[in-house]
Amino acid sequence: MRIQKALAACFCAGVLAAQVGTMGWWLRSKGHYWPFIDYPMYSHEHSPGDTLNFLHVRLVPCGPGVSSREVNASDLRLSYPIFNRLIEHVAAGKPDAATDLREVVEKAQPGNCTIQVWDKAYIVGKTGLEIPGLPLRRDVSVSVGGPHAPAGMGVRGRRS
Amino acid sequence: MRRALRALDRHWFEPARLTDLAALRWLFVATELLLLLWPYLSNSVGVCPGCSLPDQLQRAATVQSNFHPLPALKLLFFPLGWGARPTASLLRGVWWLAVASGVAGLVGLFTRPSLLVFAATNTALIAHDYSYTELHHTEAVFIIALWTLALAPSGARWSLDALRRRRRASLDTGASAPRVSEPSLSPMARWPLRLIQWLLVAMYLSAFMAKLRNSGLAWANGYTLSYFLARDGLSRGLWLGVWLAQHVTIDRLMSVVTLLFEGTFALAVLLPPLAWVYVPVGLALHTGIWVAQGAPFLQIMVMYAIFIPTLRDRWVGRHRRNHEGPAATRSPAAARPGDQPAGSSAGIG
Repeated sequence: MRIQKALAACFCAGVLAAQVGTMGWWLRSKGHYWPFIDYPMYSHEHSPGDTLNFLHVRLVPCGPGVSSREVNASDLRLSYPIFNRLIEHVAAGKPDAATDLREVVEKAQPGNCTIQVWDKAYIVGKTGLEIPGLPLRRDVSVSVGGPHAPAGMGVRGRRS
Repeated sequence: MRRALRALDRHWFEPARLTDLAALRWLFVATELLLLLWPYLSNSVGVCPGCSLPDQLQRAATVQSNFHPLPALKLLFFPLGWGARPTASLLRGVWWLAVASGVAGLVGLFTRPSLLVFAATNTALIAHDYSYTELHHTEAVFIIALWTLALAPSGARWSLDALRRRRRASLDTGASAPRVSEPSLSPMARWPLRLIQWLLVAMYLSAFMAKLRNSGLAWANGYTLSYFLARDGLSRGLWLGVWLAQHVTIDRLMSVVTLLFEGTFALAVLLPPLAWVYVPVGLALHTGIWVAQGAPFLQIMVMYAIFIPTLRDRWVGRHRRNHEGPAATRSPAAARPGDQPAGSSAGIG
């Protein structure tokens, strides 16, 4: 029994030391030592006046008189974080990201000529979130190699 | 010094019911099996994306440059080569092994090896998933809890192993009906409960320390929570989050409660009657986070079951004192007829 207790005590001490260690500098490394990780999410302060920006992707089908439609991560067969990162990069004007997005759309939603990234901003005011937010604005247009579109135009414009 | 050691010994090794461990084995293994077998819950809801086989196969099909193996994955797959990337067929095999070992662990067939394989395969699957994408926090403590249950005598009761042991014993003694011959209490049944409780304490303390380090008490200004509720509520279409984000006074109150809760959660372990406060508050907190922010901490909510023995013992103890007077025993579990502390239960357990 003594040996069993000693082994159990060593196991408990080791596990707790590793878990507590993630709070200190020696094991804090963005999840490298998973499942021993720290929990810093949502820990940064925000103040009145801070804004939140949400990016939306709309696809414009090829052909005259057609209206655009919004697509989400699952429409493009991407996970939510990857979708978010990709459109953030597109909105930031990274040409590689525009090429990646064009490939993703061609594969998942063929038959479109233009991809539009729209930006909707909200403000946290004195009494909390202000609804409705600021007017929607178009950030970026990327043309896709559809039958009516010139190929390989990349990022066409920002904040048009 | 000796008194402190005695107190520590009592805290970690006071005899506890083996049936409590068995119940936790059922609950924890059933939860993880559910996540393995129901991709909607694990992947679409996001409780444990790495538990779903389609997610694993999707990861295996992505480009090599996205693969950044975590040390846990390297360790578990080291026979393939340090840092080797598992193939889709290997992942399929690991997933099936996880399911099979989970079922065996649930019914208590070769419980310890089954649970060790179950813990290892689930660790491998989730570590593999997080070797491609940003890390989430829902599974980590639960995975450690699975390892803990595997090393504890959690198959000593309510298991096929226990049934086989009893049958063998009854055959040896020639008794007509197999009966429970081992004591129901064991000092080795206490430490797993304590370890999981203290893991929860460490998790909340980590969140508390991060808030203090990054923002100080200004974190509770209400605007911080309003911002995060708005961000998650708007991006995931959660009306409750958006509504709460518009009311900074409520957000301020909830922020203060959150800080108090996270910073003092250890009291739920050290002063057991306070578990009556901390457990409902914690469950409400995680339910709120799930509904208003879309962050499902299902495993953590399941882990709150670790406090049920404490709550039950306190409740039964008070009930007995009311009926039998102040001389009634302090630990109601130990007072049941026929229960004696077991000196020789399996295990590090």
